[in-house]
Amino acid sequence: MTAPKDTLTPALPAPSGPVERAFGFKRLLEATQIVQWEADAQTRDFTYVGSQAERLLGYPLARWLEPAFWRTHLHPDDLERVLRFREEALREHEAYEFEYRMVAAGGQSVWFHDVVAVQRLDGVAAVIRGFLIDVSKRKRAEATARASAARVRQLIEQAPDAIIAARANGQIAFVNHQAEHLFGYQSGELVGGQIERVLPGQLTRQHLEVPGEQPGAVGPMTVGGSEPATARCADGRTFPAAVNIGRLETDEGLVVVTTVRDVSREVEAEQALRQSEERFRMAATLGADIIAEVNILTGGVVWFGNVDEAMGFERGAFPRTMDGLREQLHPDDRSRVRRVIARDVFERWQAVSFECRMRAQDRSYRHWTVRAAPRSDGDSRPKTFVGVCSDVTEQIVARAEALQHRDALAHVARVSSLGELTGAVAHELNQPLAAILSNAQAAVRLLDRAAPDLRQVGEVLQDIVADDRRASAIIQRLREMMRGESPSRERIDLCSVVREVREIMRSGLSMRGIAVLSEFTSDLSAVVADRIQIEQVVVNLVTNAMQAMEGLSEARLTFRVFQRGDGWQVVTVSDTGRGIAPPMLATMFDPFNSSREGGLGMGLSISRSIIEAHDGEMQAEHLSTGGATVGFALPPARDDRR
Amino acid sequence: MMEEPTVFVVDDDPSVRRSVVRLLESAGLRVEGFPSGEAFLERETPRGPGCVVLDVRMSGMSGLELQRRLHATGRPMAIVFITGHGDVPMSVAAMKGGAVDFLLKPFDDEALLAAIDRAIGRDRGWLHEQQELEVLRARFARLTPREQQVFALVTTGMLNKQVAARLGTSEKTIKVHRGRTMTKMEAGSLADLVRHAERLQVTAWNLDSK
Repeated sequence: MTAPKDTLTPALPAPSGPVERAFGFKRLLEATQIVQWEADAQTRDFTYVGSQAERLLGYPLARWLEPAFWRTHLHPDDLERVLRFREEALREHEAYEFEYRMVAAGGQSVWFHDVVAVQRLDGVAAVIRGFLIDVSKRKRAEATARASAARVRQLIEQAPDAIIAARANGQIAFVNHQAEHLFGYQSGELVGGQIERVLPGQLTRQHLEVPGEQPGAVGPMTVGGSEPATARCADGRTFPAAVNIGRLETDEGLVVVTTVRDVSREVEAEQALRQSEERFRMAATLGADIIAEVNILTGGVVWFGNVDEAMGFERGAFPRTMDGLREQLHPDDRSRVRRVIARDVFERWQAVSFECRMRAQDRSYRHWTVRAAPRSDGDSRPKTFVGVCSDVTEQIVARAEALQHRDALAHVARVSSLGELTGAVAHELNQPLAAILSNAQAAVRLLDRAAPDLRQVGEVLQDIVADDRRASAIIQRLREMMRGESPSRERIDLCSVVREVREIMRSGLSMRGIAVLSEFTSDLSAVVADRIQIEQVVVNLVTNAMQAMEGLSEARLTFRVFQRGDGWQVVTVSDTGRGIAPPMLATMFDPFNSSREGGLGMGLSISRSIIEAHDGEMQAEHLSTGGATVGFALPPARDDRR
Repeated sequence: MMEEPTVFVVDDDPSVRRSVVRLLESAGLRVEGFPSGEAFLERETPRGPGCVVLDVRMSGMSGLELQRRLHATGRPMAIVFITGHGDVPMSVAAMKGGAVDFLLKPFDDEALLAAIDRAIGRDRGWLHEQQELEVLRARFARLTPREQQVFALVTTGMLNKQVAARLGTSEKTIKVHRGRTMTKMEAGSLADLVRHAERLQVTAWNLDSK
């Protein structure tokens, strides 16, 4: 029925008189969504309604003109408010406007904006006229906007971070619950206050001013760059916060939406890390330890502490890679360290501790104890290992010296006690021997006489018997002493025994310019023996060899440990001395048999006693090349013989 | 002078001491045994020839200590040491102290007897010298002071004229003194006189200082 707007064209005849003008307005109104109406101010019933009214509510015009149509078709929610407003307006105003809903024929609500003018007769309202404008679209838009605002609000409330919206003047327009909770305020306490209260000195003009022409200037911003901002609570406590700012241009001007997140824990963690790194560096710089951070994936090594100086290298010259470090390791330690690292570091990712020797610039080796632990950023496989390397060379050297010192003392004690023993035994034994010899020779003389005094000879013989018994008692006592002194029998490795003696005698040998050679068969089975006694025998052999080479310009001593065809193990000491005269070979192990002037000849005889007590045998050989080889053989341990 | 020698055996081991005493007796020697150095020193100093068979290691006074004590008495007897266990420093000390021998026990009788023989021979020689010296001292004592002066100066190789000048008298007077000195000292020549002077340790210096 209605012509479209664009049909309001000059094709229509231009109005020329009042009637025509009125007709023209009517036409104009009818072409719009605006309904012109007129009503009796007393009855409030419509007396005239524009024809568009039919379309707006779906009721025929005649219905509109029925009594109380307007009132009965008001939306029930608006009824009371609208009627009260109208009555008041009718009394006091010449014109008014208001908005309300009416219920259409289809049951739907239609929003109207009603503009009313009141005509009075003698001060009493007589006729009211107005326009009804359908504003449903606008109202819907408004409702949608309200609903979406509520949704936004809901979203903001549900956001995990605290959100504060402020106007350009810094006044807080809105905060979410998290913000109130975070800053310790009661509900609603923050709104209307200044944002400075919670973020002192954080928001600058840059954040609060309307962005200029630059496009994109309204994008999100952060406060303070990478450093956390300082936020302040209601009780004055401050905490580090990450602050993000978004800016919205609205009808009310710029709104700054600030998201605040408490980053205390991150900052604490970072500080702790920084502190521990600092401690690392401190510990390292103080010099006791050297700390290495090893990247397992790349094999790169970062040193904390002056490892270069400690190892005598130029600055930065000590290896910075695992491969380089392996080269510095003592060859004997390489496979062991590699094993430990492969198992504990690469497979188990666990802390590891080991000792090793590292080569310094001067090619000496420093003893290190290394304690290393994986450094993991999370659950993932660790990428780095941190190792604390302590140089314990001095301690080890001191320990070795103490050990050597102790060995030397033990040796001195052993040798001197043997010396004393030899002297005492010699003295004790020689007394009865001297008496026996003298008595026997006296007896011979007595019997040589023309008339021998047989009674006297008998006395002499009795003395001889007594002295002989005394001598054997001494020997018995000596045997008991030797047995009682060292009853121990243990499984010993002859190579280690010989090595120990070699260490004990080293200084004495080198002082005499004697070169020492060693030929050890490896993997010899153990023998069961008294370690101390066997050591004593080897000491005696070395002492004899040393004395045999006294004063010689070319002196060489060779230790040999090997296994004989019959399974016996043999230790020999060879010298380049004068050798052994053939007649000596038979008797050299007898007591009092010495090739040396002033020698008592007890060394080898005691050695023989010891070896025979071990079911072993002594052996001696004159070398055609000069010198002699003297040694002993011990039977294999009983288990091995089976 | 040909008095029978005595062997003194000092050893704290009774069986050794008895056997050695017995051995030496069977060899026809006169023997006395002592259980310690102290016991031996208590005995009166032997006048006749002899020697000591001495054990080095004894409880109480050691053999080396006894050796030093004997030296101090002015009757240093020849010593044969015997020991059950000896070392080089010990034997060196013994020999420096004038020991005749140092025997290790057990020793052969021949070795011991030979050593004792040598020791007694040395002791006889010492005694002989001591007796000769006594004779010379007696003769020297019979010289007048002037003759003693002449004896001392002449034996330094001075001529009569020099001696006369030194003593402030005539050469002729010196000649007379010299003749008497030769007679009293029983010297057949100037060489004999010089030898006597040496043994008596008479010199011009110690005459001057008297």
